[in-house]
Amino acid sequence: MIQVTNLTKTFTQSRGRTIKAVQDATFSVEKGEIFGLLGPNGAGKTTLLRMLGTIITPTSGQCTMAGIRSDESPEEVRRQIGFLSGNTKLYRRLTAREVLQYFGRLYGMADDLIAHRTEELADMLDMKDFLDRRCDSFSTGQEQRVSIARVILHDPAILILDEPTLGLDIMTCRTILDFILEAKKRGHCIIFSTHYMTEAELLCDRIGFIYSGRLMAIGTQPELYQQTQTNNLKDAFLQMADQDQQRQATL
Amino acid sequence: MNLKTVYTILRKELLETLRDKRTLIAMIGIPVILYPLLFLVSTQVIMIQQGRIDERDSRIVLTGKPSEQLNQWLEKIEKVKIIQSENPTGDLLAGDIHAMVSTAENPADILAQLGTAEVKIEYDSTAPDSNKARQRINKALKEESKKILQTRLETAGLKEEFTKPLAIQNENLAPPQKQTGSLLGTILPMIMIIMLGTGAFYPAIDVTAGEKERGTFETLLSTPTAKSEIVCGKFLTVFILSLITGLLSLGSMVLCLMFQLSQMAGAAGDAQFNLAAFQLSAANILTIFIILIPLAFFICSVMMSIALFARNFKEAQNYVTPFFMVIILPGVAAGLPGMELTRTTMFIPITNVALLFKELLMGTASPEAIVSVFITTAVYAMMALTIAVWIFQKEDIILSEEKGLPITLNRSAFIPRPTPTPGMAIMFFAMAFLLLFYVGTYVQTRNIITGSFITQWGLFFLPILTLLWFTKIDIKKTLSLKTPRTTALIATILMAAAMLVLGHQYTTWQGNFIKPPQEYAEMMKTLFENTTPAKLIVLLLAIALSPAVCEEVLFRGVILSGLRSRCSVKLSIIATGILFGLMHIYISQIIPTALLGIVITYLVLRSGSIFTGILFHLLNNSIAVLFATGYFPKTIFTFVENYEQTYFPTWLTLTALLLLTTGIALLELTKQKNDFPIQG
Repeated sequence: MIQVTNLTKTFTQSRGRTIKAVQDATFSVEKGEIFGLLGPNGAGKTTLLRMLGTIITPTSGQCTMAGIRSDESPEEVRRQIGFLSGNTKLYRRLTAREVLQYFGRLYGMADDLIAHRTEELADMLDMKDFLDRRCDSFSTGQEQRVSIARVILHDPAILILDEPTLGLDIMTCRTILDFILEAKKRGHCIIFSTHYMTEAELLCDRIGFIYSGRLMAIGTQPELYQQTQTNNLKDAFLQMADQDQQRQATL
Repeated sequence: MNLKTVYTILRKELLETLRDKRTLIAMIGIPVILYPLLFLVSTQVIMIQQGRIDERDSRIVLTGKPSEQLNQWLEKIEKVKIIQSENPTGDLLAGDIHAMVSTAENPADILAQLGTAEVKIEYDSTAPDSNKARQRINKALKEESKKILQTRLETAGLKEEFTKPLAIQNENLAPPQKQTGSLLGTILPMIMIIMLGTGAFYPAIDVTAGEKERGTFETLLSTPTAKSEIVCGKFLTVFILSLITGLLSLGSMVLCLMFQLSQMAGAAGDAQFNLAAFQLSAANILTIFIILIPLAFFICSVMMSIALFARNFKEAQNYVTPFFMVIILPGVAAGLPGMELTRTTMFIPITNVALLFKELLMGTASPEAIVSVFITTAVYAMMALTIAVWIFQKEDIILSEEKGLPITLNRSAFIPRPTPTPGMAIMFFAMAFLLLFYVGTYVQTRNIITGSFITQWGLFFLPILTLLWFTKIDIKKTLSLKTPRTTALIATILMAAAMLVLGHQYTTWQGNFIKPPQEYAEMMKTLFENTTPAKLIVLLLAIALSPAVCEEVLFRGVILSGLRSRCSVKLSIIATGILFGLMHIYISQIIPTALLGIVITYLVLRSGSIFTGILFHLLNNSIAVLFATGYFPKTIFTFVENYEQTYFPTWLTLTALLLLTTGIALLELTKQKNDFPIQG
């Protein structure tokens, strides 16, 4: 479903200095799989996911989403994905229903289909009470539920979720995590980033460790434990990060 | 571009903006409620104040030498009371008394000796009551002076005419519409610019920086929507709101102004503002409205482009406010006396519209001026919108969260591409258009031949090739540098010959409605007079070869391939032709050159080679030069000379049509699959 080859993003700072936010990322994610991207703040998770979502264009490298090349038809790629990040907020002056209607139309859905999906998702995500209220009155949890509804409204094959549980209370967190597992069951391909190791342990089929823009390791949990001689993700990650730092220092 | 998506975005943006109180206040509150209120209240307050002063008595004090005569005169004046004061100067400045009157000598003595008696009135110009006192005393004393003069004249046995050797009469021949129009014309354009700006201000910021600040931009970018659709949807929102505000305030302003002027006129008993005679024809109102469209277009797209750079609402206000002030200045400048539409001011953005507005109100605008201002404003507007789309493509600006203005003009930042985009094509056109008018016309008025060389090679050819190189665009592909087939060359010659005849027929017919301006005809006449063979060669190089190469590179090269990268064949041909016509700003030339442009564009697209276009252009211009200079072999077409102002005979038209069809048929029959070379 997702195929990423040597994806690199460089940002040019003032006075011509460049920062490599993501370097040579290569991996793939299959249908019905949850791929977790783990790393500290500033590691390049968001940049990588933004490239997958065609929000930004890679400096070099390629990604193919659902068989479509991002550089050739980014609009078609976006039709196949649902993208959620900390920066994808809702229109505060519109009601939840209006927001869903707007995005449904942008995805080219017919109005009656949008209405039908809205009711369905309102049931599933428990949003009936606030469907016709304006988004500026929502709590963080309510807002996140509407966002989730927005992401899967058009039933995309691929879900890209950038730290979907950041700053949420435990109840909403559970709703979101349940939703991700449910989506996996339905055969969606899911890539999500987090820096909560426990969340990743619970959900992910495979995990990629990302640190200063580089994907240090990719594998299932047992594979990563074996590689690092540890028994949890936190220790495994820290060990790899330390090794990586030493390697960079010697270079 | 999917229009349905644009409409979806427009509808949502309108809904969202209208739910914002700031926009509503700016759009409806200010023009419909605040302005009339300000006008009416201020007029009423002035009138009431004036009435009160008229009712009050003037208290005055006689100072200096006591004089019976002066006392007598003053006592007779209505609403003037003479009182006593210990400290008259202090009282006057404190407002307790309104004027002090004094004489140096006794007026009666001086008058007895037929001298001039001096009367001094001291008053405070800042106090309305004191001014009124001065007026009352002045008026009364002038009456007295007149009476005394009368007596003196009678005594001397002289007539009244003795004191008036000359009687000078001033008569204003300007029609009342012009007088009132000139007055309104200095105020209204500025107000319109301010109101269009006010209407655009909040929406422009709200749909760009506001959306960034609220964190919904990335949500929008994650949908399968093209950047151009987003820009168009958002731009239309701003544009519609700006136009509504502009129209609401135009209506409200005109009503208020009419009302106030009529009150002022009534109060002053003055015929200067003859509003009854002031009429705006429906055609004028329509023209004003049509000119407002590109103006609003320009203001909105520039405001949006500027606001895009900001990260939040507040920052955007800081960026857009200076621009707002900058656009008011040309409006003010247009109101200055002596400013009018000339070849120069016609191309200054904003000022040209303000000036045209004034001339329309005065009823002196020429159709030439209307068309020129409309075209230039539209060009600026398109350029501003293209810039907005371009900025929108820059992800570091759209997604900037902490950086300031991340625009770079490093060549390394450009991605190599086979042809320009339609946006770039329009930018190329706008650039050439502006260079032509700011530099080209200037050098051509100094010397038309060297001016033509400079314009073609220096303003078109060189900048275009430099820009193509700089932006890493494939020059060979963009300019269709390909050897043409022999059949295509034959078709070119046939079609060029045909278009010479058909073009003449069209221009003759068009001459019934539109005459080329006198200055143009004279310029051409002096240019072609007394042509020696040497001069003929120079003329052919300047007027035939240079435009054939340089204008073709611009139109059938850059512009055509840019449009073709996104647009259909038909649209590309027609749009390129029209742009080619617009470049020849004289009204009489626009349509014939546009038609010619359409034929050449078709030819180049079909033959896949720009050289056919160059050949066509060269043949067309050279034959025109040969005719005008009298070097065309007369033995072949002796009859042609008789047809300067009239139609060619029908058989020639039919032959031309036959040649044109043969040319087209040749092209269509021998076309190859890759003839429409340029594809996105």
